[in-house]
Parts: sequence; C-alpha cells; structure tokens
Amino acid sequence: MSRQGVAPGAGEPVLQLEGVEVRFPSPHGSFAVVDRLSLSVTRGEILGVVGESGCGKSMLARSIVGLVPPPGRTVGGAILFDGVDLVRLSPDERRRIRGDAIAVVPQEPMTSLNPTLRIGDQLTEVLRAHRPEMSRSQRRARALEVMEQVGIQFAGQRLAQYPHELSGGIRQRVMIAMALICGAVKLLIADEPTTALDVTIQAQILELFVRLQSEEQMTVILITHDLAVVAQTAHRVAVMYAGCIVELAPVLDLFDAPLHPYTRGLLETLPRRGASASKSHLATIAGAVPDLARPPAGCRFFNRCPHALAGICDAALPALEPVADERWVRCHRWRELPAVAAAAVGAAS
Amino acid sequence: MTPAAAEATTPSTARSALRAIRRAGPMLLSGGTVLALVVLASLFVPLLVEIDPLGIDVAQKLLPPSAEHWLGTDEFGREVLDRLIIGAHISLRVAFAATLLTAVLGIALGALSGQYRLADSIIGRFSDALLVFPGFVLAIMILAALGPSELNVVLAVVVLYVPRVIRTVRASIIEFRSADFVQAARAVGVGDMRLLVVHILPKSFGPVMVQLTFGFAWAILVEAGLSFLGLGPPPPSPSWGNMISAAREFIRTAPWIMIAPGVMITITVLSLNLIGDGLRDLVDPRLQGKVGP
Repeated sequence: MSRQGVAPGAGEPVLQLEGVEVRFPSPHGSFAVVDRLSLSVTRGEILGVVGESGCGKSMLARSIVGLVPPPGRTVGGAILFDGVDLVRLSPDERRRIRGDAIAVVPQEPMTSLNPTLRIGDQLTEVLRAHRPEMSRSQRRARALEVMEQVGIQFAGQRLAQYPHELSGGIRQRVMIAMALICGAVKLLIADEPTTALDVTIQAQILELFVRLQSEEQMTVILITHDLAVVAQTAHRVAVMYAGCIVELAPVLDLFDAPLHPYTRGLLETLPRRGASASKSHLATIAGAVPDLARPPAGCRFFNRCPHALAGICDAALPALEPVADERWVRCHRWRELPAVAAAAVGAAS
Repeated sequence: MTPAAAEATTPSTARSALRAIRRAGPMLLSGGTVLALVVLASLFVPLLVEIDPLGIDVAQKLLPPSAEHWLGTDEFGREVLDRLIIGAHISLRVAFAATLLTAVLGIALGALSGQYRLADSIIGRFSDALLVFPGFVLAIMILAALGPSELNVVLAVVVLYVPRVIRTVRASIIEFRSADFVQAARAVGVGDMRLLVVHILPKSFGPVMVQLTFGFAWAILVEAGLSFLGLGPPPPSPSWGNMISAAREFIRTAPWIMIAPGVMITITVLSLNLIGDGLRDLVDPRLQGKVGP
C-alpha cells in the first residue's frame, strides 16, 4: 500500500494533547476515562488509536471536538490545534471548528443519519452551518462534487433519497462526505468507522480513508479496537489502556516487536491462519479493566499482566518513556520482557 | 419527490405503510366523516336556511319533535335544532381555540424543558402541581375565580391540558437529543437551535397530534360540563353545555331538549376519539388497541 512510502510531515504537529483529563462523576467519586494523556499528532499522518471497549479512546475523540457527553467533562490539560488551545474556546467557537477544520466520522452509519431527512438536506446542512454565504445551488453543486470524491454513484439521485434507501457502505460514504464537504478539513477523526460494516465494505472504506488522506493532505486519527484495521491504514499506533497510552510506535515496529504486555496480548488475540490445530480456541486476555473510580497505585494492567512483579509493578504507575526513535512504552519491565517472553515460548515448545 | 426516488422506496416499506393505513383507515375515515359533517353543518346551514336560535315564541313552547319543529322546542318556544347548530359554534370554537393555544404553549414549554435543566425543573414542578388536581375540579376553581366566560373556559382547558403536551414534547426531546443522528449532526457543527427545530422537535409531532386530538374532545366535554354547572359561556347564546343545563327542569316533560345536545356531544367526542386512535396507530403501531390517555 502506498502509505508506507508517505513520510509523516517531518515532525510538524497539527494537534498536541498535553495532560488531557476527561472525568465523569459517579456515586463513588469521579473517575478519569482519559487520564492526563499527552500525545502529538503529526501533520499528514494516520494515527491509529487502539484499545478495548472502555479504554477511553472514544472519549479522547469527543474531548478533542468538545463533545464529551455530560455529566462528563474535560477537566484539565490543553488541546492545541494549530497552536490554539481548544479547551479555552467558547462553545460557539468550538462549534465553528467542528465539521470545518476538524471533522468526525461516526461509528454507526446506520443510525447517524436522520431517517426523516433527505441525504441532500443533511449534507448541505453542514454548509449552512459553516458557509452561510453559499447559495442553494452552490451548496448542491458542492454536495455533488464531494459525493463523487468519496465514490458515491448516481449522486444527483442520492441527494433526493432518504437514508433507509441506502446501503450501510453508501451511508458511511455519505458520513465521510459530510465530514469533507466544507473542503477545509485538516484533522479527520474517525471513531470506529468500519465496525458496523462487513469486511469487504470495510476494506473499501479504509482504502477511501487512505486515498482521501493523501489527496486532501489531512491528518487522520483512526480509532478502532481492530488491529487489522490499524495494520492496513495507520502510520503510527497509540495503544490505550484504562485511560492512558501504554505504547506508541510506528505501525510496523509495533507489529514486529510489541513492547508492552498489553500490546502483545492484543496481537495474540488476532486469529491467525495456520495456527496449530491444538489451539482450537481464540486467545484472550483474562480479566477486566480496573475500576477507574479507584485506580490502582501501580501499573493499570497489573491485575491482567502475565509478567507482573509484585513490589515493582503495583508500586507506582510507570511513566510513558521513550525507548527508541518514535517509540514509547509505559512498562516497568520492558527491558527484560523480550527475554522473559522468549523463555516462555521456549518452555512451551 | 422525483419519480425515480419514489420508485426507489423499497416495497416492504410501502407494504408496512399500507398495512398501517388499512388498520387505522376505518377509524380515521368514520371519525373524520362524522366530525366533518358536524363542523360543516354548523358552518353552512346558517348560511343556507334562516336560523333563529334566540327567537322566543311562548305559544310554541315545549313542543315535541314534529315535521314543523324537527327537534322540538324549548321552554321559551325556541327551536332546539337552531340552537343546536349555533351551539356547535361556541363548543367547537372554544375547543379549537383551547387546542391551538395548548399546542403552541405545550410545544414551546416542552422544548424549553427538554433543552435546559433549569427550565425543566421550574416548568416540571409547575406541571406536576397542575397534574395533582383532578382536572375538572381545577377547571371549576379557575372559572369560579375568573368568572364565567368563553375566554375563561378556553384558559381553563389550556391550563389543564398543557402539562400533558409539555411532558410528551419533553420526553421525545430527551429521547432524541442523544440519538446518533443528532450527535452526528452536532459533530459536524450544526447549531443547537437548528438541531432542536430540524432534527429533534419533528419527532414529537406524531404523539403531540394524537394528544391534541384527544385534548380537543376533552375540551368539548369540559366546556359542556362547565356550562352545565353555569360556569360556561352565559345564556342566552346557546352552547351544547348550557342547553343541557337549561333542560334539566324539563327532563321528564320534554326530554328532547336535553337529548339533542347530549347526542351531539357524544358523537362529536366519539368521532374525535376515533380520529385520535387512528392517528395513534399510524404514529406508533405498538400501542394498537390500547385506551387513549
């Protein structure tokens, strides 16, 4: 795929998260679904954000666009987009950015379109919100243009149709068209954009993302629980666990040599063709995410980690430390683990 | 819709829409026909025939129905049929005005309380307080305080019925403001006002229409009840309610004076309820066969 040749725009950050914290109140005290997360997204890259349900990846996305559902709130940190701290903007200033410079493609194409409005009305609604100076016919022309760009056939006819008349794949293309219609998008956040689609359509949509990213010179944050999706599209991957980034690496490095035990676990859960017949069941990571209302003092993966050492791993939260060029990991034992893991494999065979 | 788009509607959608119409059809049709007859008769008969609801003729008093006096005459010798036709004006006018006002207020206040927490707690407490009282007792209290008049009957009906509409609108706003398509529209920068008006509020129109139809029937009953107690539009101008009220004394000697407006109230309310049931089946087929609010 062409993306491997595309070098992410030489370190120039388009989005910088610094200590972002999203909290929800609960009867047992408030808990952080995104915990003091820092991350820099480079212009022109596709950043995959992976993790299991509840790790905070969707809330991270919502925090960036300022749509954390109440009673949740972004309580701390800075979200610098082109040098402007989004957290400090007024609700209306944030609304102006949403759908224009930062766009979101939602998870559920089947329910994300209003069933009682025509496709054309919903597409041009975005232009009404951001380009009030455009005339009706200009809006329509732009809608047709962007529909063609995302590969929707019979665009003119589609404009007059209702969502229930379209397939899931076409609807997701419509959602992507909505994200692009203003023509000024710099950062596209796709939250599980292919989860509701079957695999052939998924491949088409991912291809579309990769193509649009290079055509439009966009930066894409691709949120998914599916490592296969990341492998197909992303340049860099952030692995999230319990509100924190546990590993950050270029995609090939991550798949070749995962450093964090959680990343290893995720990779092992991928079903492999030609895996030995004796392993008839799929690998899983035992246990569940810790209670975030009372986060453990040590590593958050402690209770599920096969390599956890009492006294070290449960004593203090490890820092996200740089281990190599563009590689970061949050683990006390990352230096020893390759040896430990190799020994385990040796013992097993 | 372009012809191409119309054809593209899937057959199954068309079929289920047809089924719903067939189910609701008979109710809507019969209710609608009767109501239309009542309304048209009250509007156009006075234009075609000479009508004199107030003409006193003591010599002709308390006459039973006959070829000359189709529905008989009352204690002052006034034509019951003439009074019935003109009485429909007041009854329907009161009910219509009350329903319209209820719709406007109910949707506006419901939208407010669905959108804003503060408004919700204030409006919510007020409507709870109103809903505590048995409706008719509250209506009597309001009329007793304000004095009997057509306008005050309208106000009483509005005060009584608006909380129900507020609740309906509020419930559907709360249901739909977190819907995926609303979130998606918000995520591309659509403003709050447009989200409310274009995406959220229309979702409540179905249930609200149903409720207003029942409200209309209920308003006719309240007007009749209040008039019966002497709290409605005062005589001599006839309303169905005050006709029944005046006929009390003659129920043994001249029952037709009371039966005529009673039958009119019954068939009008019945036809409205049929329409309400039919609309409800169209709007929400799951509730089919259940009793109205």
